[in-house]
Amino acid sequence: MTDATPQPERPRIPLTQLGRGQRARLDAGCMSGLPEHDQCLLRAMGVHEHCELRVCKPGEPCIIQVERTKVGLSGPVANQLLVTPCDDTGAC
Amino acid sequence: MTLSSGADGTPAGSTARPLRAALLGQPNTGKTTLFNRLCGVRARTGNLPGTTVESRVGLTRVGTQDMEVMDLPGTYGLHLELPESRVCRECIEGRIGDCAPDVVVLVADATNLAKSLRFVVPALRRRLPCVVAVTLADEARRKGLSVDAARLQARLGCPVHVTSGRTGEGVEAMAAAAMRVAHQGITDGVFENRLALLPSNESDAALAAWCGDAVADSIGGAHAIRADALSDRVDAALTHPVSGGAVFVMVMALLFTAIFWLAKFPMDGIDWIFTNLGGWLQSALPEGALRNLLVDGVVGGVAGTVVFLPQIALLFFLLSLLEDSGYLARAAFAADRFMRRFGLPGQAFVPLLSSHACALPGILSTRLIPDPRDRLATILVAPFMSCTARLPVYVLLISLLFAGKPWFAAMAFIGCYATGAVAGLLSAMLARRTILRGPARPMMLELPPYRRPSIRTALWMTGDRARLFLQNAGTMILAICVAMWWLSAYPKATPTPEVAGMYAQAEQLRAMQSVDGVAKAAVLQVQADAYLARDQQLQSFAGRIGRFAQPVFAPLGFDHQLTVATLTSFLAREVFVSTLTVLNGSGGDADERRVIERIAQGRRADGSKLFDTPTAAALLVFFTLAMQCLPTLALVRRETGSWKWPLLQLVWMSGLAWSMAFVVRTVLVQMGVT
Repeated sequence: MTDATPQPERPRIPLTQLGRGQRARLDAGCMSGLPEHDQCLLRAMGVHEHCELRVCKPGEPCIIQVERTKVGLSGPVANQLLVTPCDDTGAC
Repeated sequence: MTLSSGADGTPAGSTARPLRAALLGQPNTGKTTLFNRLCGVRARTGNLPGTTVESRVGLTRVGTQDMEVMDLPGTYGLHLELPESRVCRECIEGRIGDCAPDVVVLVADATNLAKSLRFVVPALRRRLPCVVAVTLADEARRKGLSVDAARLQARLGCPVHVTSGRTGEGVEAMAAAAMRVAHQGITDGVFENRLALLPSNESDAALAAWCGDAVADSIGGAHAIRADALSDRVDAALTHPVSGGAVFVMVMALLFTAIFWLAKFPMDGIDWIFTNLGGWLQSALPEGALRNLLVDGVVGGVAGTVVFLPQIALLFFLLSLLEDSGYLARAAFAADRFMRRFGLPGQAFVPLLSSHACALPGILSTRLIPDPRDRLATILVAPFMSCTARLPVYVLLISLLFAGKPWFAAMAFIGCYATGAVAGLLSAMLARRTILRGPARPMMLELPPYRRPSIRTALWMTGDRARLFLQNAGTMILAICVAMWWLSAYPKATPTPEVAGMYAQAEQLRAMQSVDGVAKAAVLQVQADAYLARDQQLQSFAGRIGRFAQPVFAPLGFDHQLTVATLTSFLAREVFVSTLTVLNGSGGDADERRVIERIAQGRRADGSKLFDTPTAAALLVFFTLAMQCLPTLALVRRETGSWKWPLLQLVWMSGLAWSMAFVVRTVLVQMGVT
């Protein structure tokens, strides 16, 4: 028999709440707090929905790494990005 | 339909130019290094037609034919509503002047291929003859990555070449492929085949997934991305408020020292060459209008332009090294905290600091600023920074105000620099809240990997910048210098009876042929020349304009001499001191202290002192804030593409300077200071 109880959805938190080295995933709608043109620019820089990121440096600026790209974000931008933190096993 | 070219290497329907390739890619993908490898010194920088966005154009030899290569500005996506994206889009679609390419070389970074492909794939969906150049192959190899060009080509449906701009690997083959594709154009069949290979779903998620698969299929080696702890630690240090700030101040101090101090030696050399050239022309040519035009107008104008070259070259050389190393992006964050308070981005710090040496290189370096409003605001306030040309005026006026009080003099110097900087920052804040109102572009910057900067690229960039400055700004500056010389030189003043008498007396003394007589004649001659020069200043068109404008400056305590000196210094601020020297009849004196003493003793027409304390203080404030530099106005016109902005700058800075000078003088007079 399988457990049919749905897993509780991991809460989304602002990117600014992650610590150094923590990994997280960006989900659909995670950038909705940002103006449209900023969302487009972020996606073009590689920070797109469904990507996994690692926090290289929290704070101001917040530096994240997506794939091989490092992006520096000012505090207000990082605060508007909602992420789902990965757990210790690496699952997000 | 086929977009094609003639078989002789010229585009279809045209025989005027060789085939043209446009390099298109994201920033930090090695695009410019590839361009430099292709074109070397056969390149020039210019604005794309009808825009203020720059592009470099050069020629490369492919087999027996030349191919024109255009390095378009780096952009993260063709769909973005950013100036650089718009320009790239319009250029490859042939909507900007005569810059439609015959082939587009899409530049992809081998070390970050997935991200590059997310740029390349949407570009391939456009019906354009394309070649993909996968760059930074050497760096990828060092990281244990290898690119299978054939597999990637099969995925993308267009020729793919693995290249390295640094080593030259694969560049020739890529250029040959680009030439071939440019000749062939793009047929319906080729385009449809390509579209069939690319992802049909255009969503970001689908594109990311497709690019991930393509990378997995075509990249060999270590796919896993490991955290680079050292790079992270350096990033944290360079963007930290304290350590990042300290490093930033240190780097900027070195940069400033280089352009302020190191450039002094070649500048002195240039000055020496032109002084001697002027002297030689003076002695070789017969006296007359032609000699005056050549010596004072042309040689003076060329010297006034070329003398800025060392500062400009040094600044761009060092900036290129800093940018290439990856530091500049981190530095922008370090400065952003402070600059944002005034509505300017972190990238504005370098131009404003450079403007303390000279506003010209400072304004040229605003091209580092991506947002057009931010860039314009920085250009508008850059001349507020106290440049080296203001120094002679500061020395003169502070010497008059604080003679024998070195500590007060030092404080006054610092005060001048601080006043200029504060006025500039507050003006920027005002501009961003009024005429340049708009959302501030939040700092979202890609931080490129740390790399050893390329000296060769830096030298190419520097040479290109220097040539561009001489070609564009230099010609305008020269024209203005000649015009200002003419206004100061004509109409010719006739010697007054007193001066004519001095000349006659000198002639008689020389005729006596005694040692004493010749010496006295020389002294008399110098005095007569100085008086004649003073009369020339006052009677010239510039002098007449000065007298006419004197009522405007009367509230600041300026008489007609100070007004003439102020107006002639619009050519360049340092002219103020030489004009005052001439007006006070000490034109032949080379001793700076004696000149200052003489000016300090200067009298007005009514016999009162030329410089009372309130007037000297008002003049100091005026020169600290006023827009007294025609070459800067000419450059602002060129950089903004309109006379509107330099005129606004002139009116705002001069208006502010006048108002503040009036306030200072009024307060001092009210306090009873004389």
